[in-house]
Amino acid sequence: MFGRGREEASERLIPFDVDRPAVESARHDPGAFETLYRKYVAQVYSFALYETRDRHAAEDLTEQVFLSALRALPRFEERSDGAGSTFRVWLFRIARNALANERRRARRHPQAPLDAASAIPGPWADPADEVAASDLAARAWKAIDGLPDERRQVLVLRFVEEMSAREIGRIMGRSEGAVRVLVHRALRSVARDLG
Amino acid sequence: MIAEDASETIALDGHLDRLLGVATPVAAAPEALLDRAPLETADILQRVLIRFHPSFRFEERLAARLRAEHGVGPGGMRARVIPFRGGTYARAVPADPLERRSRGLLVGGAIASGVSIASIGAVLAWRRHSAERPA
Repeated sequence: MFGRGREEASERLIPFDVDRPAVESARHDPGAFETLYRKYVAQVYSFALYETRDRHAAEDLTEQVFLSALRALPRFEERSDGAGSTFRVWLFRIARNALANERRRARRHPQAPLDAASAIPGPWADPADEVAASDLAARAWKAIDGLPDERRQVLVLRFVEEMSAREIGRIMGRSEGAVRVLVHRALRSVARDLG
Repeated sequence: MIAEDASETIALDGHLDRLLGVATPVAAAPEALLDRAPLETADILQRVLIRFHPSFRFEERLAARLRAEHGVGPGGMRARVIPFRGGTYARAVPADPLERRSRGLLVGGAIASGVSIASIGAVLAWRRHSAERPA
């Protein structure tokens, strides 16, 4: 009995969204949306770049996401249940939908390799170390590139956007446990390719 | 298909949380039970999967587009440009020193000079008149 009560209470509990004050400000004054935009532009752009592997396509997608978010902000609801989200989760759902729409429209999966591996910053004093690291990065990129969409996306959201399994689950419409399994499988796949 | 042990995926998740600084796990995950391969791969990906920032030009262009979307000016929705009263005053002192030197040739400057000379003449005439008046 107590267990159930606790469960219900936890379902009602709304975790504090760090963006709540900024979202509230933007609801009353669209000019305040710029704070949210500046905070998340690099995250959304990175996600788009990893998925499209093209700088111009990533810019177009980023633009679509923020314009959609600005227009839809009055309808955004922060909720604690599985369907609800924080602002960041909501924003990435928009990004994921925009990406899916774009792919449907273009009827193609971009094939151009992301030439970002050479731009990886590192503390290597020895150029030989840097070359080795760059080679490792290139092999890792190739392995990630070959993953099925969902596995690649969980890795990008987990490692690039530094999201928890719960947040990723809410973005992808999966349970936290399912995301953990996806991450585990994706890492095993990449490990095999790096072998 | 690989059947993952739930405790294994939870332990890996805890490791990733610590690696990425996402959250502080409540209890230490039993990582010793984990296969080393995913852990080592996670370490590599943590270094390789970097975040990219769009170009400054793109970021500013989109910021302007978002402002325009709701008719928001550069200083926010409630900010609007108010013309300085008597807009010509704003150009009264040009930034360029060469232009400042040539201002005496401008019509406005000539009028100002004329007014000044007339004023000085009036003061002198008044003083002369006062001096000539018997005490």
